[in-house]
Amino acid sequence: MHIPDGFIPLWQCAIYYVILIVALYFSLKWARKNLDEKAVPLMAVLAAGIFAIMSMNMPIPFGTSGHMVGGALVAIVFCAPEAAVIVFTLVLLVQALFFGDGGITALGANVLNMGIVGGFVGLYTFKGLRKPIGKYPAIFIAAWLAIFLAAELAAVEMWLAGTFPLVAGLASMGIYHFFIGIIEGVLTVVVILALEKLRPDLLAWNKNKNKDLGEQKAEESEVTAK
Amino acid sequence: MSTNDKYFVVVGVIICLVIAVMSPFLASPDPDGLEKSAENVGVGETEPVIGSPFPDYSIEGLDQIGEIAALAIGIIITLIIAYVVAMLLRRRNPPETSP
Repeated sequence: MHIPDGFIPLWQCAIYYVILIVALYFSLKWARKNLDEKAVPLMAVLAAGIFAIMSMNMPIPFGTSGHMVGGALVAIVFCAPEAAVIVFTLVLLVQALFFGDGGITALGANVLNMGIVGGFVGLYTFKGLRKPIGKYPAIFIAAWLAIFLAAELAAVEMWLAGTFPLVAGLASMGIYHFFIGIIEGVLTVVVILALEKLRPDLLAWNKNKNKDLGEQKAEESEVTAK
Repeated sequence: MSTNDKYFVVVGVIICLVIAVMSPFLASPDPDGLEKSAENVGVGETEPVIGSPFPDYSIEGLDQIGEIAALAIGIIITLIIAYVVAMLLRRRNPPETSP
């Protein structure tokens, strides 16, 4: 879903860059308050993993392919869409600068679609559905919806840019990302299942309920260490 | 970093590198959703504004080996940049205890 250079006129790119800067401002504030040193390796590995998985295009119908994006994944793991904004800004910047994937002029739009919309839609859909349908079905639908809406927003951006006609763009992007979303949903569930199994302490949703216990334990072990 | 976290990073990087080794062989060469949509409405490919050292995740003159190498380089660059940036942005003080 990486928008290349030349699909969006520069003055519109500037608007998306302004949105990116505002989002980064709030994300940096979030990090300063909430990003534990313990979560730093998690953020780094998720960024590298997202970079890697984006190379694995899987076939979908109509001679098209798609890969996992991971906006919902990052936002759900950290319980914060701000984390997705930071991760996607870095990954998309590396891809644009070193690999010519996604234009540097379209960076703002690409972070808006995959990081900001992906993160917000992913996290809040998950939060809303978690109780009624259960954790993992909610993750699947959240990840599916995140990528589907991100793609439709990209279609709207292409229309505003005068690159795609509105209806044809929405229809194409919608149909392809309906299928790509299934890949996204399955892989997001798999990654979170694996984290829950191997490193449940890294998932933000386990942090609040473990906090009192965990801090007590940490204090105790510090005391015994001394 | 605790031993547990070092282990997590090592396992994470290994998984990423396994993906990098497989994807030049397994990844679908078909256009992705956006490229295909652009084809459907008759929009051609555009040139990137800046040149990149590894266009399309490849190294000139090397086929699949080049792709694997380019991806591996990208994985390491992304890991290091994200680690350094996250270290710079992280919370410095312990959270204030709620009253």
